[in-house]
Amino acid sequence: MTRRPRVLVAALALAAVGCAGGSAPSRATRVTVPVEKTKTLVVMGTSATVGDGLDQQLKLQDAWPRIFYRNAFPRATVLLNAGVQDESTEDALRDQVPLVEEASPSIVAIWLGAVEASEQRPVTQFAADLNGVVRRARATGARVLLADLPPVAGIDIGAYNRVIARVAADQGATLVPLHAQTISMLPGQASAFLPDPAGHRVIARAFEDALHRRPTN
Amino acid sequence: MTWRDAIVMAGRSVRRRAGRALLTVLAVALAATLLTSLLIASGAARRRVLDQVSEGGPLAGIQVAAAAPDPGALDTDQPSPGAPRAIDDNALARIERVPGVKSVVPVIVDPVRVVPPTNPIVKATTSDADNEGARAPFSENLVGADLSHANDLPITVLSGRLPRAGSLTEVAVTLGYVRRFGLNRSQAARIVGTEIVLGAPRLFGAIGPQGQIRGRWTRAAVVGVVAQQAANGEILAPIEQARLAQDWSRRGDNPAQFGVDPSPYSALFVVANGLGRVTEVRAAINRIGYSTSAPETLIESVQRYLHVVEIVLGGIGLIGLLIAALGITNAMLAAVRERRREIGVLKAIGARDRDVRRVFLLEAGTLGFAGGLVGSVFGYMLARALASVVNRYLAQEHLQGVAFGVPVAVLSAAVVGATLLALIAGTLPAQRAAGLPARQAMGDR
Repeated sequence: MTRRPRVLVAALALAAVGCAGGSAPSRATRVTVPVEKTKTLVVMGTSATVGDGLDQQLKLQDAWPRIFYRNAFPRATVLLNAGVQDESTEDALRDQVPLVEEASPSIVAIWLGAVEASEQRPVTQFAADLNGVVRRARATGARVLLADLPPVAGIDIGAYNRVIARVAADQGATLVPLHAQTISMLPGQASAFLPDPAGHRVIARAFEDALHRRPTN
Repeated sequence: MTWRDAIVMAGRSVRRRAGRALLTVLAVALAATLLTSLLIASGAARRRVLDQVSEGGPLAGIQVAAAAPDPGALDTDQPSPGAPRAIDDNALARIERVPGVKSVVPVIVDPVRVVPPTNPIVKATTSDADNEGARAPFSENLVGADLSHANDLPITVLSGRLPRAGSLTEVAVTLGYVRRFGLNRSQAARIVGTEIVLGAPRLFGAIGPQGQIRGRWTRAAVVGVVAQQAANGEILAPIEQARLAQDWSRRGDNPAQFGVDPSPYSALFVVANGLGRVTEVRAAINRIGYSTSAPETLIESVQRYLHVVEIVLGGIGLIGLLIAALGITNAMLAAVRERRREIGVLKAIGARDRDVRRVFLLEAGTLGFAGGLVGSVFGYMLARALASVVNRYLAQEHLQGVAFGVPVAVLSAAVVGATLLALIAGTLPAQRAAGLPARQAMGDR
């Protein structure tokens, strides 16, 4: 008499478990996974920054922004190269700075002034434009690395480098002293400031050294 | 007579005729070995064949394209898709609500520029010229999938592992990528651990006379080599990576110029609750307005053939077990004849018919259990040995090996089945022993 109800209860329990296991979920579910955090590096510049003069196949590996990105940053870093061929600082204010503002970067690396120095444009205009570029880059909250111009035969870079140093100091950017480096340039190019692969490596190293220096503020 | 007495008597009888018992156990063990090894091998082969047919994905997988269904091709496995139709979050939610849907995994495909590793992988195997070629950037598709549901996708890991879901710095690559470096499938592991740089393109039409293309460049470690059919592309990444790349490209001017998909999701991979519901789920998704494809007809045909093979192999094993069972009956009948006097004494001192029956059934069950246990262990070992030979051959042919686990259900069923069969085989001798009148049993001596 006591055994039969127990068997009945066990059978009902088994049936209930079977039904629960067999019924399909009415709706597919998806889980939200945490997404890895990344930093963003934006590079601004002119022809050398986009790798002009380098082999077309290898400019994505051997241009200084690539080497700097590869060697100085952790893998979880996004690189945006805002550089445009033959752009002056005035052009960069229009074409490159909006990308910096959109990207909210952690680091902005700038190498501008080659066009102005090559064409010996007025220093006062260059100063105003560069000041605008660096001020707006700094306004995003990013650390700014600002490179000056390396020595190039036949071009007076002194006045431009003094402007770059002053803007860096005024805006709290870290100066990247390319004037102190020996950078080998490609011969016979339209621009005098087009480094060869070895020159790109030297520039990248100079940016890396500046990145590791303590920011002024 | 208590159960304990019956067990002791059955045990004593087995020990007394150890040679005969051993031969009987051996017969059952051989039959069980044959049955288990055949069933394990056919189960492994079945998994491998279905895995191949379903391209590594779940059998009830359905691919949903970002296109309207072609009404003329609804009943085929691989219909040609109709006009493009975007899959957005709303469509995704509607498909998730379709009855019979187990999971929906979205897939995003993005065109990217790939910069291969800077340190040459293939220097030892190819010429410097080939090596330079292998370093050249190339355009490819980045396939982003929700890898938290990787088991629901047609992806097979060939070497290494899958990228972590949510990772922005890990990718897997296909054999197509591996072959770019002059490597073959057996050398795929050499790619694992290298780094690639991926660039999502974006056109800034207002810059320069022809606009300016800028890339959003990311670096990723190659953590695995896979065979994948989620979408067309050599780089497999977590969907979060592909979504960021897609967002970047779509914010530019004329993203279609690079082949950027106008649909938020390029495809969906839907898994139905069982192969039987695939047709119903496909029809429901078609009604929502999307083209679907699934190898359901092919899988069903293959399953039918595999089932026939399993029945034949199981039948061979069962014939072996039946022969062993006849051996048990024969041995037990001989034991009844030899033990008439003992049965008579038992009955004379008060043992009932059912006590005698219990002793003989216990003896038969013990032989069956021992044979089944030994046979299932040997069957498993034999199947493993066969699998290792087959896998060695498949590895030589650069094919994926057969996955081999411990089939607890088959092993347990072999032991239980052999025991039950032995009990059935022992029923006739036990019945005959129980039916012997005490006086006749004693008098025969």
